[in-house]
Amino acid sequence: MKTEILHYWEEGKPIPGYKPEEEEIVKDALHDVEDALFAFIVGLLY
Amino acid sequence: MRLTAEQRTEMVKKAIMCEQPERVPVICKQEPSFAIEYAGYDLKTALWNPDLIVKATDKMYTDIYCDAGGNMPRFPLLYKTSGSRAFVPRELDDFVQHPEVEGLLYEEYDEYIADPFKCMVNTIIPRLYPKLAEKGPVGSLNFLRVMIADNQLKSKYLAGCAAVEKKHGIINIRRGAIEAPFDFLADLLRGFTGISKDVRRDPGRVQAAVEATLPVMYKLAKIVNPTPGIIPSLFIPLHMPSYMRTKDFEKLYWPTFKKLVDDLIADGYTLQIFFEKNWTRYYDFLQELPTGVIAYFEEDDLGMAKEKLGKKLCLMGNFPITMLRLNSKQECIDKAKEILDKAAPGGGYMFCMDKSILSLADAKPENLIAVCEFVHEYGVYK
Repeated sequence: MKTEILHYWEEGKPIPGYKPEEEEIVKDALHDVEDALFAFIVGLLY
Repeated sequence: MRLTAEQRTEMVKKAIMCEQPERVPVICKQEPSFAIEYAGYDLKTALWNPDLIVKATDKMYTDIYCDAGGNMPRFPLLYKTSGSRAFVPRELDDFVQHPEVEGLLYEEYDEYIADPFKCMVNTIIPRLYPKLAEKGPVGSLNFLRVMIADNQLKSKYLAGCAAVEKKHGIINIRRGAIEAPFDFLADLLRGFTGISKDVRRDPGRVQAAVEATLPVMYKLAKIVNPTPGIIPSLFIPLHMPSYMRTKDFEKLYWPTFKKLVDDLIADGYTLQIFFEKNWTRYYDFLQELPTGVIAYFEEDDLGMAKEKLGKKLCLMGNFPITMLRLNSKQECIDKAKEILDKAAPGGGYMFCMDKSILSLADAKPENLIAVCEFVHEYGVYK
């Protein structure tokens, strides 16, 4: 699912504010936050 | 005879996968609001206090037989804090209801189709939850309040329920809920009136919007139920098809719903799908659904459903809760026997009411107790 306003680490394209070499350390934690934010907001609409 | 959680897990798993278990599982469809009233608590007080709901659930499980359950109440705190127009606690007792709303205007379809989640954040949420969209830090703080409330209430409720279920050996067969893409668009975004007009005047945009919603629902499913398996199932209540023309259903509802079901089952999930109202005219479509679907019917005759769908789908539902309110204990038991005789042979069936029991006014407890005990004793595979 593509959206402009969630920040996911895409292939070779770090999330703004992070360096490519940090991917292994930070990616999962950042994605968990984005997922929870996504589910919370969509959850308000059903 | 009370069963262990392990025995119940085994028989529910077999039933879901269309095999024959030792007994017909009895599925609890009493909502927390029923449990609260049954236990004698004030509804408003308990809806603000998850500990009381858990105590009420303990009392209910002590008195009323079931093998499996699983639910999540709507807490008024969330909706008061957010100024919700979509879900509104009623004046009398803060029981949350959902009026007809239009979160997405017709002229905003293209914005939604281009990026549904962005449109939800920028356009729909501010319209339906105005306190979350107040300017500056006030809106941000309200957002935080609602997220904290959501986290606190649900954590407390789920932990309490898990302890009560463990005490009674009852298993939770439901985790997380999503919607069919069309229903998501219809329910709070366009509303019943709006979507009914759109289907006729602009089916192309409806189709594009539904297709844009499909990945949203798929992603949501993976987050709200992160551990695929036979149990707990994802819950999908279906709303609009009973009100649609078959040709519109075929074009606008079914393709994305079918894809969602197929993809989630292929990922290892099972799905408890509530087929609201009567689905008889859609059986040709339902025959395409894969095993792993629990077909929870409201009005459909389970004898016919068994014949047409029973080889692939696990059936449940259809016991009319109006009988629990209006009829004698013996009449209720006779009805339960009639349904079991039609739906239970060969397995792939779980006993359940035709809809959720919301309050004491919906069902006389003595009738409910008698029916659940009867099914437990009668529903033994020899």
